[in-house]
Amino acid sequence: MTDKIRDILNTALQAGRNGTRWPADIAEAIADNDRDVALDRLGFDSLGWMEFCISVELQSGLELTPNDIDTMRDLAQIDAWLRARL
Amino acid sequence: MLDYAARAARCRTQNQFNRLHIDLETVVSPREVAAIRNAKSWQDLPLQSRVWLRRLKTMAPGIMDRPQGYRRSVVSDLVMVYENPAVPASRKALLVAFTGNSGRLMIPMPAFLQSLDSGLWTVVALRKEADGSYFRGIEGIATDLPGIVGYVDATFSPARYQRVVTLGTSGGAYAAVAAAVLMGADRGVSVGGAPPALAAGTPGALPEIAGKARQLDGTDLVFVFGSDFDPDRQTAEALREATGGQIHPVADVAGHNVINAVLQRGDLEPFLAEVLASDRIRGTLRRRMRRLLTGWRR
Repeated sequence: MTDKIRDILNTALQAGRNGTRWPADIAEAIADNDRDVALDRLGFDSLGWMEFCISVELQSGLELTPNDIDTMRDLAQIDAWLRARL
Repeated sequence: MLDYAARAARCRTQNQFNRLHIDLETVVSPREVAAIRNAKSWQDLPLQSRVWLRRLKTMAPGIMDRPQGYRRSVVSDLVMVYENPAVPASRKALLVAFTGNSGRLMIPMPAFLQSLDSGLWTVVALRKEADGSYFRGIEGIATDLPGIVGYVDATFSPARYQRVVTLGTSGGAYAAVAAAVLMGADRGVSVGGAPPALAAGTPGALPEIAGKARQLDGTDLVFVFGSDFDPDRQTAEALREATGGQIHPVADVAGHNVINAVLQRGDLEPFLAEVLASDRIRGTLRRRMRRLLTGWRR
C-alpha cells in the first residue's frame, strides 16, 4: 500500500466519521493502518458513506460511490479498489 | 437565491450530486424543495435530481404540494431562521435547534420542518463545525455556550414568543439542554445526547447545569433515546439522575438515530408535538426571574 492511498483512505475515513467517536479498538486499528476492519464496524450511516466517497473523489479523482461500497466487506477491499486504479 | 438548476448542471459525477444534495439538505426549507421540483418539468430534471427529490418526498409526503410555510433567512453560514411571516411571534413558540455533527437534526432539515407546523413554530437552527463544540461557541457569533444564549436572546427576542424550547440531537443534544437551563427556556430536549468531557469550570459543564437545573422552576428537561439502544439509554438515565429531568424512551428503536426511525414510521409529526410541547404557559416576568436565579450573564 502506497502512502498516497493510505492518506486518501485516512482522510476519507475522517470525512465519513464526521466528528463522531469510534470505539477504542477501531480507532486504534485505523491509527495502525490495519485494513482488516469490517466496514460495518465503522458505524457509518448512508450520509457517512457519501461523505467518505466524496472525499475519495476529491482527493483522487476516482469515482467511488456508495453503491460500490455496498459490494465491499472491509477496508482492505477499498484499499485494493484504489490501488487498482491509481 | 437558491439556483438549483445551475448548481446541478455543474455536477458531473454521483459524488458531486451527493455533495450538492447533502449541503442543501442541511439548510433548505420545504418551500424551497417544492420550488426546485416545480421549476422544471420532471423529465427535464437530471436523473440524480429526480432520485433525490423522490427520496425527500418519501420522507415527507406533503412537501411538494403542501409545503410548510417557513421562509428561510440566512443569518450566517452557521445560523438559519425558518419563520412563517404570516403568523406573529406572539402566537407561536420559538425552537432553538442545536444541530449535530452533520449540521442536521438527524434527518434532512426540510423533512424535519415539514413535520413541524409553521403556524406554531419559528425555528432558529444553529450549526457548528463537525469536530467543534457548542461549548467553544459558534464561529463569528460567540466564544462559549453562554455567549450563544446571549446571542439568541439579543437577536431573536425569545420574550416575544409564547414558549421557548431548545432541541438538540446527537452532538448538539447536551448543549441544547444546557442552553435551556441557562436561558430559562420552557423546555430543553436532548435526543441521543451525552455531556462532553469539559474542563472544570467550563460554562455549561454538567455539574453546573445539574445544580442550576434542580433550582429551576418551569424548565422541563427531556432526554429522548431509542428504548433498545443501551448506550443512549444509559446516558439519558444518568442525565435524568443528575438534573432531575425526565427520560423519554422511544419504543422499538434499537439505534442512535431516533428521529429517522420515527420518520420512517410516519410518526414524526406527533412525536415532535409531544416532545416539544410545554405543559406550562410561559410568562415574561417569570422568565426574567429565572434568569436572575440561574445567574445568566450577557
